[in-house]
Amino acid sequence: MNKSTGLVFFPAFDWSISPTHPEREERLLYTRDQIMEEGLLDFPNIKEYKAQLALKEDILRTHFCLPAYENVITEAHLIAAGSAIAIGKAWHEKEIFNGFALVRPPGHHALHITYGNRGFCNINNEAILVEFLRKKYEYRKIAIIDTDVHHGDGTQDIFYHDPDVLFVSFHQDGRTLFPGSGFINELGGPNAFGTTLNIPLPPGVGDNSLMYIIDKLILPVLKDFEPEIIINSAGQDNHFTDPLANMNVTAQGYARLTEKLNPDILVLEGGYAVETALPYVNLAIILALAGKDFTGVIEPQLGNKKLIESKDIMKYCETITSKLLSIWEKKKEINLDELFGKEKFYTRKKKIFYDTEYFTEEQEETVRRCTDCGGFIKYISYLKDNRKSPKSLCISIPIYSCPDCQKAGEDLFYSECNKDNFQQIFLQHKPKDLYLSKDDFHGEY
Amino acid sequence: MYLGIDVGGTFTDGVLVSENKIIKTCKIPTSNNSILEAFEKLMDDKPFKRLEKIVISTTLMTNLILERKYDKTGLLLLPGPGISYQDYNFPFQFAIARGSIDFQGRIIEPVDEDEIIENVGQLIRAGCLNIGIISKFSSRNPALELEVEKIVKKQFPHLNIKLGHQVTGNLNFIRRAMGTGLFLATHNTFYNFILDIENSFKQRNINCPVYILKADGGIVPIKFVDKFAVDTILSGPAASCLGAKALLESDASAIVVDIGGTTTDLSLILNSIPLYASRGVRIEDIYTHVRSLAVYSIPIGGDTGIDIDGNNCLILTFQRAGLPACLGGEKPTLTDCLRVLDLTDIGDKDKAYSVLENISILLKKPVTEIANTALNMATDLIIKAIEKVFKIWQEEPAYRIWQLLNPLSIKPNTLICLGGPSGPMGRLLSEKMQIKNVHYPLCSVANAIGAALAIPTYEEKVRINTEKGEISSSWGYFVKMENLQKQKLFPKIAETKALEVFNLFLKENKVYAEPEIYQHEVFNMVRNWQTTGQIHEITLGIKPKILGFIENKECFG
Ligand SMILES: [Zn+2]
Ligand SMILES: [Zn+2]
Repeated sequence: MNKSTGLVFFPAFDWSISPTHPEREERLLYTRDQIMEEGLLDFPNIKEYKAQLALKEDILRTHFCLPAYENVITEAHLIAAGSAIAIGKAWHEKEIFNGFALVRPPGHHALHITYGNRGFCNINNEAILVEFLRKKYEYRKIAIIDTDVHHGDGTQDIFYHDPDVLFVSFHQDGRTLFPGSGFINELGGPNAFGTTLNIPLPPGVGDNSLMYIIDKLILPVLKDFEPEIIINSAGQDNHFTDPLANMNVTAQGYARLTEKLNPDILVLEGGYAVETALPYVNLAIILALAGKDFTGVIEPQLGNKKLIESKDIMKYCETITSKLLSIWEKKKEINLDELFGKEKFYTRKKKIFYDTEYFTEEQEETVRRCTDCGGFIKYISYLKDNRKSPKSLCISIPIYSCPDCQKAGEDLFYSECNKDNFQQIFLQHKPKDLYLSKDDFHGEY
Repeated sequence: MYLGIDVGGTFTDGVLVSENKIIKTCKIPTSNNSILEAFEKLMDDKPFKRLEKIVISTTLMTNLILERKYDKTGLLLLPGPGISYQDYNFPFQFAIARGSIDFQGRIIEPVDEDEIIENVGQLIRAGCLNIGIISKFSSRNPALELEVEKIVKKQFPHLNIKLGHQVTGNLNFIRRAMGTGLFLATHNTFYNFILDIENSFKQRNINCPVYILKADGGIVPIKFVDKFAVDTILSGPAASCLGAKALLESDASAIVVDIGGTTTDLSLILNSIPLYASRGVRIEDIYTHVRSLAVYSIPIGGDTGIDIDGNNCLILTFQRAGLPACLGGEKPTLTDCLRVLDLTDIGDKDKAYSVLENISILLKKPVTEIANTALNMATDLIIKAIEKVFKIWQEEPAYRIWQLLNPLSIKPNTLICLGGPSGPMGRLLSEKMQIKNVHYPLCSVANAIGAALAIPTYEEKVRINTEKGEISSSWGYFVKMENLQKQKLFPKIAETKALEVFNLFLKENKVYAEPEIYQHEVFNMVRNWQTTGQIHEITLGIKPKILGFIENKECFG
């Protein structure tokens, strides 16, 4: 058994959203300093890998980039996604036992359809990794545990109808933090009910309450789901010094969390306390992955202090744990028709706000209900209050879809290409690894 | 005239170079006296006053480290928060003390005088009179190391003390501590060695400057070398690579294969610049901060033995089989294979034949086939290693977008083989690899040529933190600057400042050369959405060059 931990470190020292934006060159500078000063890369069981560029097909396998690929993707994004893939490859080849893509920019707010930068993210690194691993190596059941303080709404969106991907996110409650979603009742679509689990938490959650949730809720659910791979969306903004959120987790807490989850692959997400948290949290996580003693990693700002959460918070965590656990255990008994209606197609409407670029997408998402697979999904999308924004139809056929759903998705693409309802039409055919637009369609294919 | 001497494990090689021409070479068995012996052989009756410089490359430091010939040394470590002490692996006694500094050089925890005195007292009682004091991030702020030194000196005035930041200002606490320990533990022996050389040259009235070669192929005046003693490890491969460069075209990209008795060292020259290692030299489990050329070694050489395994298959033993039989040894080696095939005329062919005949009878195959098979196995392994060197080079991590978008894609088109069996082995390798082979008789003393033509080379880092008004550097220089612009320092001003402090360092070490800026990165420090300062990281140095290219390589010898 190979016991090495793989590391791709890509601090993108020449990329920022803007000079003073939290997502700037400086973000991983001190993390690099700490890793280098500790001599971590000299450990015989830590292997550093070179960052790589993802390919266009890797992106198109996961996203609809609107209005066009070029509007959404930059090289920095390709490298962050490609680095996650690099770790995935090394893990699959059993060169490493587990691995960490310590990269920026992050990705978990990027949805299935992406128009650009939202919550600092353009494309979803974890989702791209999942689709890569499934396409190239035929993995099927994958769990993504999102430990960022913000709800991983992009990842949730991409796998909302996928019964083979378990998405679990704990985060500061959407009523007090961006992106304002991730409530307990968001549980997955009709074809994948229960494989999305959200654990909204009140401000002030610390190490103890978090360990409780991991021990009593996340670990039992993982055990029950039996994933082939566990991926951790490893945001570090639950830290007690993070400027964008209000949690009380320490580097020790993050390390223990990592040890308990025992993820195969971690991909860095948020975390913006560039001096007080990131160098220590990253160090502690890497040590935990490599099976080394991490108890000496204490943030200077913490010193001898103990951050103990209030009784109310502990109580809240116990309640939400038992609630979600019972939902998880009874998910098969739920009458889906009561929740989603009796129609063959289930439709929901979404307004998606892009906070960086300040526009809103109007989206209608429809999934074909199917008991054999995740169905196929179609989206109608355009930007609100923007007459230049083309109305797009996007059809996604999931990788493990049944022949009926595949056929239905293909048929819709052909028939719409012969009509004039939409200015743009895209087909994401994952089983055939085929990514087409209306321009590629010449009557047959 | 330049004189280069490379003291290797078995042979000491020397050359005398004048105006890009080799005047004389020598190869003698290594002994305690081989530097002077080589010197006398090369100089003959030539007037000493025409000598402009002598450069010596020695394995002394490598041997001291490998053989653990250390003076008793103790380390006092101030690690602060971080990896566990259980993960430390030093060949020295060490003690842990309070006091810590963070990556910005901020003091997180002060030192505790009583604890320090007690800890050092214990190290002394254990017999350590050399004490290294190393704090984490001391290059970002040496204050704690200096404070501890003061406390220790006051209490124990007779100790030999060295501080971590004086050894290297590069990040890596463990390697810095190791380097400090190695420095102290080898200092006496190394210093005496230098004194010996200096004295013996003085006695002969030789007044030209004497230099010692470092692992990075740079040279240091012998007067200052004790400061850089540890940096002289593995200078041999650097000498060879520079020598190869001197024998190639001035813009060559080449694979350098240096075949010794038991090991083969591989290195690369890319657009005439030797490839440097991205991390410090590592010897067995000793990790150092020492910058060096990227050299990859495999355990194959002219003395590699040949044998038969349990399944009656021919194998290479990867162990020194003693001298080749053709040179008076007892067991068959790769050199014997070359000899029976008449690929070399070194040694006695009959003797080579008779040891290989034993294998030939057992395997029921002709001697020449045995020899060919063994050489094939050896060249295959070397080629595999060359491919690995390329892979390592291409998979070197990069931290910037431009580096990933502009991958270096130089393809070396030349193979140059150095060392004893280099002629025939070079031919075999280049035929298999379909690549140009360069070989001259001078290749057997390329190491000494490299030493003779080496000049100082540096790659250092200067870091300017405008918020704190501090300048620190990879060679340990640290200064507080009162009147630095806080929010924004113009790049030109930052670079001028960096060059200024670097020139100071060069002057201290009597190096006269024009430094260059290699890279300059600026990080805006933003706190609460306000820019509070900048960090400038400037890499600068003196490019590795040689004094000239050898002109009489075709006709010499
Ligand atoms: Zn976040
Ligand atoms: Zn289906």
